[in-house]
Amino acid sequence: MLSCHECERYIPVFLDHALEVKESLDVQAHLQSCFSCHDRAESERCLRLFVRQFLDVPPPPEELKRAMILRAMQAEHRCGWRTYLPGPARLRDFAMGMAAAALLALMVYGVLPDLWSDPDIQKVVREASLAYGTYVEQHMPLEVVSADTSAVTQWFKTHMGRHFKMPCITDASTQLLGGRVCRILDRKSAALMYQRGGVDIMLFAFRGDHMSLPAQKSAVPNDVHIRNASGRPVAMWQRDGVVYSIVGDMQSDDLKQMATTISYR
Amino acid sequence: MPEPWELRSKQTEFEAVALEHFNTLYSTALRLTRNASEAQDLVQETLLKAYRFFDRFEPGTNVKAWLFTILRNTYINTYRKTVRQHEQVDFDRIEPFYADPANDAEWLDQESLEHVLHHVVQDDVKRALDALPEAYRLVVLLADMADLSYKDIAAIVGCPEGTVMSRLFRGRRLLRKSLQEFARKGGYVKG
Repeated sequence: MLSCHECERYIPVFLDHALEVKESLDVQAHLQSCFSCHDRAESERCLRLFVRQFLDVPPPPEELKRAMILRAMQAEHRCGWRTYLPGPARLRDFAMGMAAAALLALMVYGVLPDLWSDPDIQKVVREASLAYGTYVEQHMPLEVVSADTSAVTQWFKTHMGRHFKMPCITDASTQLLGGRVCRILDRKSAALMYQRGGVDIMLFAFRGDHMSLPAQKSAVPNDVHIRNASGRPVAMWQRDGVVYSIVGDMQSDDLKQMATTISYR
Repeated sequence: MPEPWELRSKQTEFEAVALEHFNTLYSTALRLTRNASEAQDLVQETLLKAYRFFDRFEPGTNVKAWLFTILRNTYINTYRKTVRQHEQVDFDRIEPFYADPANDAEWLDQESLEHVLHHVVQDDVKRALDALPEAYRLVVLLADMADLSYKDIAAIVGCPEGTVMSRLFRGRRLLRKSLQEFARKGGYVKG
């Protein structure tokens, strides 16, 4: 027969169903005859049930689960959009992809020598353009869907931090669709989706204290830089340690104009 | 290059496995990353790797433990580095698993504990769990949410079963203590 002292030590393992048969029977026998140990075991069991019950989050929608599983399988057979985004596990693939893309850009646009000066800038341009292409072509899901700027800004404040200055396109002809959190330069980035005249526009914002965009010779407000990636312009600027980038299938000048009229909340 | 029918069979099998364990993977990812968006990314990355290496998975072995091993490794390699610093736990100072319950001042009887639990809310439970050192949090999640055995957890975490038991004991005790503290601060229990 177990002593109370021994039984109490066995209770956690007993409740995890990890005791040997003999020990388990000994504990059961003791619990039937000892109110104190029985109470203790019930207390432990109660705590576990409670924690499990409260941590039990609602499962994602069935469609989302199936879409994620499908995406995992498709990514193995063809290039899914996530395979473009860098991660340590895909470093080699990503490096090869970047090298091929850089060579292509050199041949097509002849802009590479300028971009080589800061690899991070090139990465931001490329990733922003790829994310845009993915959104437009593969209908990347939004996490917040609303045309209300305040509501979307509030949603991002809870995900990016209260002090994070969220950008906002104030042009009346541009309609907000919503947004989601994504990764740019392997860091968390806000991605806002807009539409103007049937053209999708994406606006990114992420912390980039380590980056330093070169000063522009022109006196354009906010020092907006324009680069091209995948045949579309990408505008980029920096403000209070945050890097902002805007992408859309439109003229460079229109994009630049839009970038200079953005307000911050 | 697999034949189309082989591919279809692999996809069907993987889909069934992934669907069966999706909710548990997602819940665990959510408590690890503490963020819905990152949890979704973590699960997506886990599924991607799992499918990539699904051919190497040996039928008959524990697929759930295999999936959680990928989840844990992905979290450590990708997310933890960027999301937060790993809390250092001095394992030399961890109490032995068979700590003396007589000295366990936080242990409440069932009635008192139910009283405490009646007054803590979901956020308290999340905060209590999030406050656990990572080494404890992971084993508590794997045991109490994913229902994995000591043996499976040991394989996933890469430590002996005795260490798993020790961390579980310690983690659950800290959890209980935190919940009591929340209830005490809320004025629901004395102490």
